[in-house]
Amino acid sequence: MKIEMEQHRAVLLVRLTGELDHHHAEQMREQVDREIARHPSRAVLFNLRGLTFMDSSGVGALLGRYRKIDAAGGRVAVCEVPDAISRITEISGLARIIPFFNREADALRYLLLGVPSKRRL
Amino acid sequence: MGTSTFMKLEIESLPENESFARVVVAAFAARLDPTLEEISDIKTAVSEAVTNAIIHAYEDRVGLISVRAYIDGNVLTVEVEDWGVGIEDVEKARQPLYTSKPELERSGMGFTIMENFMDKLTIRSAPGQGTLVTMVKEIRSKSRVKEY
Repeated sequence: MKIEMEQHRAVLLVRLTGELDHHHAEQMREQVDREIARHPSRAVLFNLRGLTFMDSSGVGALLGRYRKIDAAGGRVAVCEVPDAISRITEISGLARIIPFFNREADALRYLLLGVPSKRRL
Repeated sequence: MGTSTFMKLEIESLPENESFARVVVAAFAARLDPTLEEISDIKTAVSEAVTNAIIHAYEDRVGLISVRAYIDGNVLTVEVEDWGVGIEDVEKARQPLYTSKPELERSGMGFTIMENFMDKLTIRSAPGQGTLVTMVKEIRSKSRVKEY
Protein backbone atom coordinates (compact mmCIF):
# COMPACT_ATOMS: atom_id res chain seq x y z
CA MET A 1 0.00 0.00 0.00
CA LYS A 2 1.33 3.39 -0.99
CA ILE A 3 -0.08 6.53 0.62
CA GLU A 4 0.89 9.83 -0.97
CA MET A 5 -0.28 13.10 0.50
CA GLU A 6 0.05 16.52 -1.04
CA GLN A 7 -1.44 19.91 -0.34
CA HIS A 8 -3.46 21.42 -3.16
CA ARG A 9 -4.36 24.93 -1.99
CA ALA A 10 -6.75 24.30 0.96
CA VAL A 11 -7.25 20.61 0.11
CA LEU A 12 -5.24 17.67 1.45
CA LEU A 13 -5.02 15.27 -1.48
CA VAL A 14 -4.53 11.63 -0.47
CA ARG A 15 -3.58 9.22 -3.24
CA LEU A 16 -3.98 5.55 -2.35
CA THR A 17 -2.24 2.81 -4.33
CA GLY A 18 -2.51 -0.94 -3.71
CA GLU A 19 -4.90 -2.88 -1.51
CA LEU A 20 -7.00 -1.17 1.17
CA ASP A 21 -7.84 -4.07 3.51
CA HIS A 22 -7.83 -4.30 7.34
CA HIS A 23 -4.03 -4.61 7.42
CA HIS A 24 -3.42 -1.49 5.34
CA ALA A 25 -6.43 0.49 6.59
CA GLU A 26 -4.70 0.95 9.96
CA GLN A 27 -1.66 2.41 8.25
CA MET A 28 -3.81 4.78 6.18
CA ARG A 29 -5.81 5.86 9.25
CA GLU A 30 -2.67 6.69 11.25
CA GLN A 31 -0.95 8.66 8.49
CA VAL A 32 -4.01 10.65 7.41
CA ASP A 33 -5.08 11.39 11.01
CA ARG A 34 -1.60 12.66 11.85
CA GLU A 35 -1.78 15.04 8.90
CA ILE A 36 -5.35 16.14 9.76
CA ALA A 37 -4.38 16.79 13.38
CA ARG A 38 -2.05 19.51 12.16
CA HIS A 39 -4.85 21.27 10.25
CA PRO A 40 -8.18 20.22 11.86
CA SER A 41 -10.87 21.62 9.56
CA ARG A 42 -9.34 21.27 6.13
CA ALA A 43 -10.86 19.60 3.11
CA VAL A 44 -9.64 16.12 2.20
CA LEU A 45 -9.81 14.40 -1.19
CA PHE A 46 -9.17 10.66 -1.53
CA ASN A 47 -8.06 9.72 -5.03
CA LEU A 48 -8.59 5.94 -5.32
CA ARG A 49 -7.30 5.47 -8.89
CA GLY A 50 -4.40 3.27 -7.76
CA LEU A 51 -6.48 0.88 -5.63
CA THR A 52 -6.63 -2.72 -6.89
CA PHE A 53 -8.63 -4.05 -3.93
CA MET A 54 -10.82 -2.77 -1.12
CA ASP A 55 -12.99 -4.60 1.42
CA SER A 56 -15.29 -3.42 4.23
CA SER A 57 -12.27 -2.55 6.40
CA GLY A 58 -11.27 -0.01 3.77
CA VAL A 59 -14.84 1.28 3.70
CA GLY A 60 -14.74 1.63 7.51
CA ALA A 61 -11.46 3.55 7.38
CA LEU A 62 -12.73 5.97 4.71
CA LEU A 63 -16.02 6.48 6.60
CA GLY A 64 -14.08 7.04 9.82
CA ARG A 65 -12.00 9.80 8.22
CA TYR A 66 -15.19 11.32 6.76
CA ARG A 67 -16.96 11.39 10.14
CA LYS A 68 -13.97 12.88 11.91
CA ILE A 69 -13.40 15.63 9.34
CA ASP A 70 -17.13 16.33 8.93
CA ALA A 71 -17.53 16.71 12.72
CA ALA A 72 -14.67 19.23 12.71
CA GLY A 73 -16.43 21.27 10.02
CA GLY A 74 -14.26 20.01 7.15
CA ARG A 75 -15.20 18.44 3.83
CA VAL A 76 -14.37 15.10 2.25
CA ALA A 77 -14.70 13.79 -1.29
CA VAL A 78 -13.64 10.68 -3.22
CA CYS A 79 -12.59 10.58 -6.87
CA GLU A 80 -11.47 8.23 -9.67
CA VAL A 81 -12.93 5.00 -8.24
CA PRO A 82 -11.55 2.10 -10.33
CA ASP A 83 -13.87 -0.64 -11.67
CA ALA A 84 -12.27 -3.20 -9.36
CA ILE A 85 -13.74 -1.54 -6.27
CA SER A 86 -16.85 0.18 -7.63
CA ARG A 87 -19.15 -2.64 -6.47
CA ILE A 88 -18.08 -2.47 -2.84
CA THR A 89 -18.45 1.31 -2.75
CA GLU A 90 -22.04 0.85 -3.95
CA ILE A 91 -23.11 -2.11 -1.81
CA SER A 92 -21.52 -0.72 1.35
CA GLY A 93 -23.37 2.58 0.87
CA LEU A 94 -20.11 4.57 0.87
CA ALA A 95 -21.02 6.31 -2.39
CA ARG A 96 -24.26 7.58 -0.84
CA ILE A 97 -22.49 9.15 2.14
CA ILE A 98 -19.33 10.69 0.69
CA PRO A 99 -19.57 12.77 -2.53
CA PHE A 100 -18.01 10.82 -5.43
CA PHE A 101 -16.50 12.39 -8.55
CA ASN A 102 -15.12 10.83 -11.73
CA ARG A 103 -12.53 13.55 -12.23
CA GLU A 104 -10.09 14.90 -9.70
CA ALA A 105 -10.56 18.46 -11.01
CA ASP A 106 -14.33 18.30 -10.33
CA ALA A 107 -13.74 17.00 -6.81
CA LEU A 108 -11.25 19.78 -6.11
CA ARG A 109 -13.72 22.35 -7.43
CA TYR A 110 -16.40 20.95 -5.10
CA LEU A 111 -14.07 21.07 -2.08
CA LEU A 112 -12.75 24.53 -2.83
CA LEU A 113 -15.92 26.20 -4.11
CA GLY A 114 -18.75 23.98 -2.91
CA VAL A 115 -19.91 22.95 -6.38
CA PRO A 116 -22.11 19.86 -5.82
CA SER A 117 -21.39 16.44 -7.24
CA LYS A 118 -22.84 16.05 -10.73
CA ARG A 119 -22.84 12.33 -10.84
CA ARG A 120 -22.93 10.06 -7.86
CA LEU A 121 -22.17 6.41 -8.39
CA MET B 1 -9.44 -36.16 -15.04
CA GLY B 2 -6.59 -35.69 -12.56
CA THR B 3 -7.82 -32.21 -11.73
CA SER B 4 -7.55 -30.99 -8.17
CA THR B 5 -10.92 -30.11 -6.65
CA PHE B 6 -9.91 -29.35 -3.06
CA MET B 7 -7.47 -27.05 -1.26
CA LYS B 8 -6.75 -26.29 2.37
CA LEU B 9 -4.71 -23.47 3.84
CA GLU B 10 -3.94 -22.98 7.51
CA ILE B 11 -2.77 -19.57 8.64
CA GLU B 12 -2.16 -17.65 11.84
CA SER B 13 -4.67 -14.90 12.59
CA LEU B 14 -2.34 -12.06 11.57
CA PRO B 15 -3.43 -9.10 9.40
CA GLU B 16 -0.66 -9.70 6.84
CA ASN B 17 -2.27 -13.08 6.09
CA GLU B 18 -5.49 -11.46 4.79
CA SER B 19 -4.08 -10.80 1.32
CA PHE B 20 -2.30 -14.17 1.29
CA ALA B 21 -5.57 -16.06 1.96
CA ARG B 22 -7.66 -14.24 -0.64
CA VAL B 23 -4.96 -14.54 -3.32
CA VAL B 24 -4.61 -18.30 -2.72
CA VAL B 25 -8.38 -18.91 -3.00
CA ALA B 26 -8.59 -16.70 -6.10
CA ALA B 27 -5.73 -18.66 -7.70
CA PHE B 28 -7.52 -21.95 -6.90
CA ALA B 29 -10.78 -20.62 -8.38
CA ALA B 30 -8.94 -19.48 -11.53
CA ARG B 31 -9.25 -22.98 -13.05
CA LEU B 32 -12.99 -22.31 -13.42
CA ASP B 33 -12.05 -19.46 -15.77
CA PRO B 34 -13.91 -16.77 -13.80
CA THR B 35 -14.36 -13.21 -15.04
CA LEU B 36 -12.35 -10.41 -13.44
CA GLU B 37 -15.48 -9.38 -11.57
CA GLU B 38 -16.00 -12.90 -10.21
CA ILE B 39 -12.37 -13.05 -9.04
CA SER B 40 -12.81 -9.69 -7.35
CA ASP B 41 -16.02 -10.92 -5.64
CA ILE B 42 -14.30 -14.06 -4.34
CA LYS B 43 -11.26 -12.15 -3.06
CA THR B 44 -13.48 -9.63 -1.26
CA ALA B 45 -15.67 -12.29 0.38
CA VAL B 46 -12.65 -14.32 1.56
CA SER B 47 -11.03 -11.16 2.89
CA GLU B 48 -14.16 -10.34 4.92
CA ALA B 49 -14.36 -13.81 6.47
CA VAL B 50 -10.64 -13.98 7.33
CA THR B 51 -10.64 -10.42 8.72
CA ASN B 52 -13.61 -11.32 10.95
CA ALA B 53 -11.68 -14.28 12.34
CA ILE B 54 -8.63 -12.10 13.04
CA ILE B 55 -10.50 -9.19 14.64
CA HIS B 56 -13.41 -10.89 16.36
CA ALA B 57 -12.66 -14.58 16.87
CA TYR B 58 -9.17 -14.20 18.29
CA GLU B 59 -9.28 -10.54 19.37
CA ASP B 60 -5.93 -9.93 21.12
CA ARG B 61 -4.41 -13.36 20.64
CA VAL B 62 -3.11 -15.27 17.66
CA GLY B 63 -4.96 -18.43 16.68
CA LEU B 64 -5.33 -20.67 13.66
CA ILE B 65 -7.63 -20.03 10.73
CA SER B 66 -8.44 -22.78 8.26
CA VAL B 67 -9.37 -21.79 4.72
CA ARG B 68 -10.71 -24.56 2.52
CA ALA B 69 -12.11 -24.48 -0.98
CA TYR B 70 -13.86 -27.08 -3.14
CA ILE B 71 -14.78 -27.14 -6.79
CA ASP B 72 -17.77 -29.16 -7.96
CA GLY B 73 -18.56 -28.62 -11.62
CA ASN B 74 -18.62 -24.85 -11.97
CA VAL B 75 -19.47 -24.24 -8.32
CA LEU B 76 -16.90 -22.96 -5.85
CA THR B 77 -17.40 -23.53 -2.12
CA VAL B 78 -15.18 -21.70 0.37
CA GLU B 79 -15.03 -22.48 4.08
CA VAL B 80 -13.32 -20.23 6.62
CA GLU B 81 -13.11 -21.74 10.09
CA ASP B 82 -11.71 -20.52 13.39
CA TRP B 83 -11.67 -21.86 16.94
CA GLY B 84 -12.09 -18.49 18.66
CA VAL B 85 -14.76 -16.80 20.78
CA GLY B 86 -17.71 -17.63 18.51
CA ILE B 87 -20.77 -15.49 17.77
CA GLU B 88 -23.57 -15.36 20.33
CA ASP B 89 -26.29 -14.06 18.05
CA VAL B 90 -25.63 -14.93 14.41
CA GLU B 91 -28.83 -13.25 13.14
CA LYS B 92 -27.82 -9.97 14.78
CA ALA B 93 -24.25 -10.24 13.46
CA ARG B 94 -25.61 -10.69 9.91
CA GLN B 95 -27.56 -7.44 9.98
CA PRO B 96 -26.12 -4.67 7.79
CA LEU B 97 -24.20 -2.02 9.75
CA TYR B 98 -24.19 -4.07 12.96
CA THR B 99 -20.78 -4.20 14.58
CA SER B 100 -19.64 -5.32 18.02
CA LYS B 101 -16.57 -3.11 17.65
CA PRO B 102 -17.62 0.41 16.53
CA GLU B 103 -14.53 1.85 18.27
CA LEU B 104 -12.36 0.11 15.67
CA GLU B 105 -14.24 1.82 12.83
CA ARG B 106 -15.67 -1.45 11.63
CA SER B 107 -18.30 -0.74 9.02
CA GLY B 108 -20.52 -3.65 10.09
CA MET B 109 -20.82 -4.69 6.44
CA GLY B 110 -18.71 -7.85 6.43
CA PHE B 111 -21.49 -10.45 6.28
CA THR B 112 -23.56 -8.24 3.96
CA ILE B 113 -20.63 -8.10 1.53
CA MET B 114 -20.18 -11.90 1.71
CA GLU B 115 -23.90 -12.37 1.03
CA ASN B 116 -23.88 -9.99 -1.92
CA PHE B 117 -20.64 -11.13 -3.53
CA MET B 118 -21.30 -14.87 -3.22
CA ASP B 119 -24.49 -16.82 -4.03
CA LYS B 120 -24.97 -18.38 -0.62
CA LEU B 121 -23.66 -17.74 2.89
CA THR B 122 -24.02 -20.06 5.89
CA ILE B 123 -22.68 -19.27 9.36
CA ARG B 124 -22.34 -21.93 12.04
CA SER B 125 -21.08 -20.69 15.36
CA ALA B 126 -20.97 -21.66 19.02
CA PRO B 127 -19.80 -19.26 21.76
CA GLY B 128 -16.41 -20.33 23.09
CA GLN B 129 -15.92 -22.89 20.34
CA GLY B 130 -15.54 -21.06 17.07
CA THR B 131 -17.16 -20.19 13.78
CA LEU B 132 -17.49 -21.84 10.40
CA VAL B 133 -18.41 -19.60 7.48
CA THR B 134 -19.40 -21.37 4.24
CA MET B 135 -19.76 -19.45 0.99
CA VAL B 136 -20.90 -20.83 -2.35
CA LYS B 137 -20.54 -19.20 -5.75
CA GLU B 138 -21.40 -20.47 -9.19
CA ILE B 139 -18.82 -19.40 -11.76
CA ARG B 140 -20.45 -18.47 -15.04
CA SER B 141 -17.36 -18.96 -17.11
CA LYS B 142 -16.59 -16.59 -19.97
CA SER B 143 -16.57 -19.34 -22.63
CA ARG B 144 -19.97 -20.61 -21.51
CA VAL B 145 -21.49 -17.13 -21.51
CA LYS B 146 -20.48 -16.73 -25.17
CA GLU B 147 -22.57 -19.75 -26.22
CA TYR B 148 -25.79 -18.24 -24.99
